[in-house]
Order: sequence, then C-alpha cells, then structure tokens
Amino acid sequence: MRHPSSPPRRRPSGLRRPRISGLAAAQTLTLLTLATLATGLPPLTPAAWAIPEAPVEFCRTYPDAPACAGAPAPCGTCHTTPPNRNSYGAAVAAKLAPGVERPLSKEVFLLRLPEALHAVDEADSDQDGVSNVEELAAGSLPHDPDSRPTYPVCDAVQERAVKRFGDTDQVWGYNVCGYDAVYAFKKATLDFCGRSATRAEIASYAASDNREAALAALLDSCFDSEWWQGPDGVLWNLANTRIEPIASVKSGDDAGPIPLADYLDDYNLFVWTQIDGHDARDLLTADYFVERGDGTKKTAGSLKLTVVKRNPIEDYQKRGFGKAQLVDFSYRAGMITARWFLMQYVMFTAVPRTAAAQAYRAYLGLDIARMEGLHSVAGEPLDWDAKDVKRPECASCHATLDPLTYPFSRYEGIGGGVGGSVGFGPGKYLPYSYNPSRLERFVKTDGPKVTETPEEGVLLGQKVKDLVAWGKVAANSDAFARKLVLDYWQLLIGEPPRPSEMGEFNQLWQDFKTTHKYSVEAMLKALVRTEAYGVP
Amino acid sequence: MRRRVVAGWLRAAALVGVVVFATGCGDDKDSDTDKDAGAEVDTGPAKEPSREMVRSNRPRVRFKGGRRMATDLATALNLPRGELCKELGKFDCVDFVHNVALGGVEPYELGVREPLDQASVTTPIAVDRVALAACGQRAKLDFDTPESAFLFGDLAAATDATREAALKVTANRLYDQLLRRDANVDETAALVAFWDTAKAAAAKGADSATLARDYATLACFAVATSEEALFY
Repeated sequence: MRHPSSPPRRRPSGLRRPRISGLAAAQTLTLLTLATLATGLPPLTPAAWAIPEAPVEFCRTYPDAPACAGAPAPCGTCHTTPPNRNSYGAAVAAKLAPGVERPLSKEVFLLRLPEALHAVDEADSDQDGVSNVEELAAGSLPHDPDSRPTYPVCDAVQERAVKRFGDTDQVWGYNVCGYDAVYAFKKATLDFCGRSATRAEIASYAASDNREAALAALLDSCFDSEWWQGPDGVLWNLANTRIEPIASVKSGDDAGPIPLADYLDDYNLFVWTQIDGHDARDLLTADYFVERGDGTKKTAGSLKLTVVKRNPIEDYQKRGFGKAQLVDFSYRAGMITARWFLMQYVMFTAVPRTAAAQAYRAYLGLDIARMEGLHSVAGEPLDWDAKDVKRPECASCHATLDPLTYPFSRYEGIGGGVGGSVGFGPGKYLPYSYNPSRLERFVKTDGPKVTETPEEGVLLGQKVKDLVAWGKVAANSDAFARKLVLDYWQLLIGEPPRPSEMGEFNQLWQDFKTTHKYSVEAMLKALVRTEAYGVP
Repeated sequence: MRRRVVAGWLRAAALVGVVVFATGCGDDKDSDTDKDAGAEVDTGPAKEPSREMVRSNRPRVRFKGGRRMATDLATALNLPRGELCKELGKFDCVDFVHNVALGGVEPYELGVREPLDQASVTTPIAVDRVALAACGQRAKLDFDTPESAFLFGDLAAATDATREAALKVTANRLYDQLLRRDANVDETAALVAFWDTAKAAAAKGADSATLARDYATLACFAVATSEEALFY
C-alpha cells in the first residue's frame, strides 16, 4: 500500500517485467526444457562462460540495475568462482543459444546473452519467492535466498496484513513499502526542530487532510528555531568545514591570544543565505556582511540577523580594527573575501593556491587533492611565483589550480613579502583588503615574474577577470547547487545518495537552481518529500 | 528491544543487568524479527503481533545525538534541560563533557567540525550516563515529594496490596513520556515482572522505599536507552 501523495515508484527502465501470465510462462518454460532435453546437447563447459565482457553486456541489458551503477556488474552476479556458476548463472547458461555448438565464440555469446538473461527474468533461481528480474531491479542477489528485496514483496505482504488487521500502520507502525508520511513528520520534527514530536502533534498530523501542507508548516516553524538557525545550530554547524574556525586566532568577542580575524561574520552570512528564501548564491556573491543580535554569538536576541553594508573605513570606525571587514564593496565575493577567509587561507602567500583550493572544495565540492574538478588550461601552469610547478607530476593539477588561483592574488592575507607597512595611505597596505599592487612586495620572496601574475583566471573552463567574477561563475554553476544540496542530503539522510536515489537527488539540485530559485528552505521542503527521506 | 548497559559506577549496578533481562530480551522471536525488519516495530497494545515482517529496503536508523536526546529526556521527565546531567555537579554532560562522543562538534578549539562518522567507544557509556542521571533525578524528586510527583507518584505511595497496579501505571507512563506511545501488553508485563527481579537482587535489608526508588530509576533507564528512544 502506498501513500496516495507519494511519488510513483518507478521500476528501472531496463527492468520492465514482461507481462506473461503464469500459465504462459509455465508453458514456455516447459517447452524450452523439453527442447533442451530433446537436442541431447552435452553440458556446457564452464570455460565457455566466464567471459570478461559479460558484465558489460549484462549492464547493457539492465542499465538501471543497482549492480551496474558506475561499473560493470560484479562477476558474482552469475558466478561463484569464475568460471563456476551460481544458480542464477546456471539458469542463464541453460537458456543461452540452445542448439549452438559449444564452446560458443565470444561474438555468439555476447549476441545471445541478452535473450538468455531475459529468458530467466521471471524465474526464481534462488527459490526465495522473488523473481530474478525483481531482484536485479532492487539490487538484491538473484542467486542468494538470504538476499531479498523489500518492495517487490511489500504489496503482497501488506495486502495480507490489511485483510487481517485492516490497517498496516497499526500492525508495524511504519510503512516500509512507500512514502510514510507520519514517519517523515516524526523524522522532520527531530531533524529540523531538534526534538521528538508529541503524541498530540503526531495525531493532529495523521488526521490532517493536507499532510503536505502540514509538513511544510512544521518546517516553516522549525526554520525559525534556535535549533536550526541559532549559534551552534544546524545551519551554523553546516558552515564549519567552510569556515574552519580556530579560537586561538579569533578577534572580537572571546578573542584568542593572537586575535587576527573574527569568524562570526562568516557564520552569520552563511546562515543568512540559507534562510527565509534568501538567494544561497550570495555565499559567493554578497557585497555585504551580516551581524547577529548585538554582534556576539552568545547573547539574547541571537536569532536576529541584520545585513550590514559598510565600507572598510566605516566598519573600522564602527567595530575597530580587530573586527572590521577591510575589502571594499566592489571587490567583495561573499564568504571568499571575508576577513576570516583571507586570514586563514591567503595568510602570507603571493599566489594563494590554498585559498582557491578551499573555495573550490568548500563551495563547489571539488577537491583537487583528490583529482576532482580538473579542467586543465592550455599552457598552464606558468609558475609565476617560481614554485617549480611545471614538473610533470605537479603540472597535472596545477594546470587547473593555478589559473583558478590568480584572481585571489590581489587580496591581502595577514601580510607577507618584503617591505611596506600596515596602515592607510601611500606606501602602506591593509591586511585582508583588495590591493592591486600587492604582488610587488613578493618579488624578493617569489621571484621577479610574480608581479606578472594575471588577475584573470579560469574557473570550470570559463575565463574570469577577477575574484568577483569567479564568485559569480561559481555560484551559477551546477557544481555549486549540487554541493549545497548534497550537504543537506547527507545531513538529513545520513549518507550520499545511493544509486537508486540518484534520480531524486539530481532532480533536487536541478530544481534548486530553477524551481526553488536558490532558496534552501524551498529545496528542503522538496527534500522531505523524497522517497529517500520518507520511506523507512 | 536490545539494551546497552555499561554502568559500573551505579549504586545499584547489579540491578542494571537485571533490567536487560527483564525488559529487553523477553522474546527471542521478536528480537530476531526486529533485527530483520530493519525498522522499529510496534505491534500495538491489543493486536496479535504479526510474524510476517517486511524488511526495510533502506534501513537508515540514526542515533539522535546528544542534544536531541537531552531535549527529549528533559521534556519526557519534566526536568530543566540545564540540570539534566552535570559532571562533578558543574559541567554539562551533553553540551560539554561528552559532546563529541554524543555526536556533537567542537570546531573552535578541538577542530572537530563534523560529527564522528561512527559512534566512539565511549558513546554508549555517555548515553547511559545521561539517561541514568536524568532518571535518577526524576525518581529522587518524585520519591522525596510524592505529592507533587510527575512520574512515580503511584509507586512511591504504593503498598504491597496496590503495588502491581502502581507498577502497571508506571510502565504505561514511562512509555507514554519517553516513547510517546502506549506500552503493549508484553512491554508492561516485562516492567511489572522486573519488580520481583529487582527485589531479589536488592541488597539484604534494603527497605521497600529504597527498592521502589531504585526500581523507578532503572525502569526509566531501560526505556530511555531503548533503540526506539535513542534512534530515529
């Protein structure tokens, strides 16, 4: 029994069950069996059957089978120890090119394999009550009676339970055969409000005529809670890997022994972009920052967030040097030009590859250290800062990383290079600010070519003239939407999407860009309606 | 249901093990079925348990984590969240001392920016610590001032003649408060039967008030540390 409002469960396209009546199937099976016996063929030799191309052909036949997700099917699908076959493999073998002389050539084998596979679709090789094709569709093993899918048997078992008890919910408490709205409601209360739903709330929800609206209303109320958007709340903690705070160098309130920058602005901006329908792309495009309550993280009224747009001098006058954001409006790109980010990742470096790599990893989900997101730029790396990155073993990554980094090279970190002094005015520089002549200080440390490092870079194969453009291209990319939605998926579901859930996941992040207009809250309301979230 | 019990520091430590037998392992067939089902199964109070279970296709049962657990415990036992459990009477068990073990993060000084992938060795100990502290507090409050008791008033006031009825009421209240559902017949019977087991395990010469309070603490602990209470 499925919840009426749950999306229809789709069988993978390559696994449509042939609609053969039981009698017709039995007749076909009998005829095939008789035909096999009548031919008097000798038993098929095992050596003819363990063919390395077979898993690929198997996956061409069943492209949507979970066993084929991202790789050819495992040999164990048909074999025990190749070439020996398991019960499913033996059943397929019995149907493969009957009447053709053995051993089969590879060509004949591959040509006739699909029909042999389909010939045993409706058979139940492991005698566990579930047909082979159902098992393949569900990702269970057609040769192992201990491995059975859930949903193919759901309907039958639930049907019997309904006859017996009238209501399956009362029998098991959960409907594991489809989207269980009450289960999703209870789970959402814990996820988004940080507490279990009361009995009254559950009863009220179960009795609701419009559960979808009731679930959305629950989320709306939870979105405003301390648990969700407060200091050290769910959203706040989601920013931890992006900000990587370190108390010992925090400035402002609760300053550490070496106060350099305050990460509270970063947390506040992150949370702001995730709530109230705000555009999440502001993470990488905002020219403002956000203050919370009275500016500290442990005060009353801490849910109050306020957008602040002050230029560096105004902010210096308002909050003092320890907390001021020192990048001018027109050079700001959200989180990646915040003072904390520049302090933490640019530090003393002329060409701050660490900053680019962190931005790429934290906001686009592409980790260059894991060879992810490599878009080599022809002629790169040019090694402007004399770091010997042209060596072949370095160049494979630096051909992407270096052009990715150039736009960061005009932003000051803590300091670095030789000469210059901190302050306002000619011949001086401000840490954590935009400074087009910054690289001149690095000639002695990074070589004479360092001043020729272009500000223009390349991100995802696209030229970007500066870091503001970098932020815009990044924020509009598929990678950005995918990464942010994946973070919430993992937070709420506990693991990355399984192969069978990729359809729902892809739809979700694509809708995030279009239907949801980059509103995280709208996306989350869709996420809790997915089967991945709502099927127990 | 299966219980995790690691509590060497309990005054009535011996009774904890008894709780496991009394309330957790009464029916092997049910346990096996639960495990196979991959999801919590509530057979309901009045209906015959079904032996025909459907295995979850994607059993994703997750630990609530310390903060949710503490919030739920505080609500269920009507205790101030800040007073639920404190080490040395000063440091909050959940937010501070056992924070990371209970699935929390501490990015500022420890660099723990994401919850641990898997429960640590000390996670069950920390869970037991918090649950036992909370249940112990509730029992103490109710037995010290039974006239304003929240959970264990009937038990505190029970005589030998009224004890069985009080035990049933207590069992139902525990399920209602901690699991937000009614106890079924087997669950009630297990908690009622636990009285005799607790009595047999009690120290020689223990008075009935002490026994009742220990029972209340441990019955609460058993339900509060069930899989159903801790996972979702």
